[in-house]
Amino acid sequence: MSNDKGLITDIVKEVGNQALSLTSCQPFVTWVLENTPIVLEHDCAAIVIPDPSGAKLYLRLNQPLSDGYIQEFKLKTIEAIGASMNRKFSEKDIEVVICLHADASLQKGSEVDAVEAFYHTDLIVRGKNLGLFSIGSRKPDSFLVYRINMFKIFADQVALAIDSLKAREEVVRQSRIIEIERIKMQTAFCGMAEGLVMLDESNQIVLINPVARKMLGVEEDHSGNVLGVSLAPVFISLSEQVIAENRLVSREINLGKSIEMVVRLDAAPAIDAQNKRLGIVVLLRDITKDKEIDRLKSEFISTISHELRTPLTTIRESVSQVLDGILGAVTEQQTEFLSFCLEDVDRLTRLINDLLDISRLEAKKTEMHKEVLDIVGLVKGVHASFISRAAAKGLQIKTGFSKEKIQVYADRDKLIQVFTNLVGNSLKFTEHGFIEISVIEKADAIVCSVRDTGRGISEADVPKTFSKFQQFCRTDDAGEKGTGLGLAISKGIVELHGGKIWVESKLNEGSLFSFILPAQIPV
Amino acid sequence: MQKKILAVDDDPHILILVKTRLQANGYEVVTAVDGEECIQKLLSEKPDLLILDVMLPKMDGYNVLITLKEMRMLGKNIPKVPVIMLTARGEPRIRELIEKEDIKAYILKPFYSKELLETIKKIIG
Repeated sequence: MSNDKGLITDIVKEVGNQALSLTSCQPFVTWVLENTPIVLEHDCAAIVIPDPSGAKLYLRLNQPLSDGYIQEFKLKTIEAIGASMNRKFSEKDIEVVICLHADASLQKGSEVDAVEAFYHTDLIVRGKNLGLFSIGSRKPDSFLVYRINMFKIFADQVALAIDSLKAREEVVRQSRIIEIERIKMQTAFCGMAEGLVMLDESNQIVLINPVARKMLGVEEDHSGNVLGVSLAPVFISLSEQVIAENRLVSREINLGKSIEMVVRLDAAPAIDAQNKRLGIVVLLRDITKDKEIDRLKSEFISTISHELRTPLTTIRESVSQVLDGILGAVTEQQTEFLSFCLEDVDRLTRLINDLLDISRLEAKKTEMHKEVLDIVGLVKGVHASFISRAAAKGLQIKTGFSKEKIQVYADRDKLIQVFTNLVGNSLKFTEHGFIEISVIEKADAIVCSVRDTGRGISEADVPKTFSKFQQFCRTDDAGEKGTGLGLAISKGIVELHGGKIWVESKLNEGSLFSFILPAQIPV
Repeated sequence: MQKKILAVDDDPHILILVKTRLQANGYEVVTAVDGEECIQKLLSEKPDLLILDVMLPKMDGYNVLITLKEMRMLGKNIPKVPVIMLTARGEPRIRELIEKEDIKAYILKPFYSKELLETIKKIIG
């Protein structure tokens, strides 16, 4: 008996070792069945592990047994697991895995045998029922009480081991899922056409894909901040702005060394699920080709515009001299028709001038001649130039200033152009009421606005107001016809001054165009 | 006394039109079609005013002015003459040059004859 106990103790220890060295349940269960201490004097043992779809039944024969015996033992075991799990198992729900004793061939026992002794115990860990362990014997009195107790101790150890192996299997399964997801992300991250970099709060590289690495010249085994001396400040200031404003910030930089490479950086805050700030994520896109197309487009427009001016000059001056009677008397009808010609030459000229302005703005080739100037005086000048046209329509143009003189640092001609565009627009689209130009000095900005009581802009059209060639409620009224570029140019000019322009409008009630200019005056 | 104006442009139509317009307003007009001819005529005709295009064959409008300046620096007796730039190139660069040298005004093509005449009147009467 003491020998039996020693055997059990040894085997219990071995269960632990096996459980530690394996990573899945199946080999362990097979091992357990092969090594179930023979002291139990069973000739057949089984472990059943249920799963959501059915159960796996591992069966071990210690010696040749008849089909009748095996069938009977299986049925007894299935019945027992059904009772213990309170779940009905049919034979087809159960997958039977049979292992045989090393020195026993699968010969059927010749003698008529039957399951005379049958014992089973649940495999329970912390109240969780994992399955069932059963043993059978042809000898009726095989399972004496003390042996049963040893079997129970053994089964408890097996249950513990199965539980930890199942947990380990789950970890493996989860990490496989994570690995598949990681591979997917990795493939997308490395295969994308854009560069992607993630920087932490101290601007160290956390993540970088091959495209970004190539663009920024970062070595494969990057560690920490290896952005070059020339690049680090760009990313630091980008990061500061993103964090300060908590929004997407875009910037264009030239990364080219011998040949030009313009890269657009779109930087966004990187925030985890708990809303904790991790740094920034920057998307890098090579826009060199787009830039080149832009440049060619601008150059084309510019050349065409210049080439058009010369013949326009000839047409204008020829017609003008005939009209002025330099070449002899002209009839009333000739005068009328030649005037049409002049009007449209002037319209074409305006279009060319606007096209030139917009192409310079788009190509960022607009030259600024900033000076400290009094914007009140400037607005008064613009106001004076519109008085007669406004009076002809029966409209009044009011002005309002927060101070007698307001200084700004701006390009005089371009600022006049903006006010002229805005007031001209208002005049064109206002039939009744008034137009008001105002300039208000605030602590950090100068707010300029042009309000009218005209047709207004529909809600749907408001976002397109400052786009090129947008002309809403185009009018056939007398007066200058528009080019559809005035507001786009105004926007460009305001932005060149570091300002912002916007419109608030209601259809049939009027519009309020406002723009702000920074208040700083250089020392 | 009738004032004399030298008009320089490589486009013959424009040259005829400027000439007709100025003559109709009582000015004497001589013309040149490129930068080199401009300098020759400046020396031989001694005009009271120069109306100069920018894009000219052989020597462009700015180089004409630079050449004149250099000749003066070399001690040659080149009379100073006021200049109106009449050009299709509305480049801001021209503006910067207005105050320098003898450029008194720049007029963008297509020009308004009224503006041209008023500008001339202001400069030479």
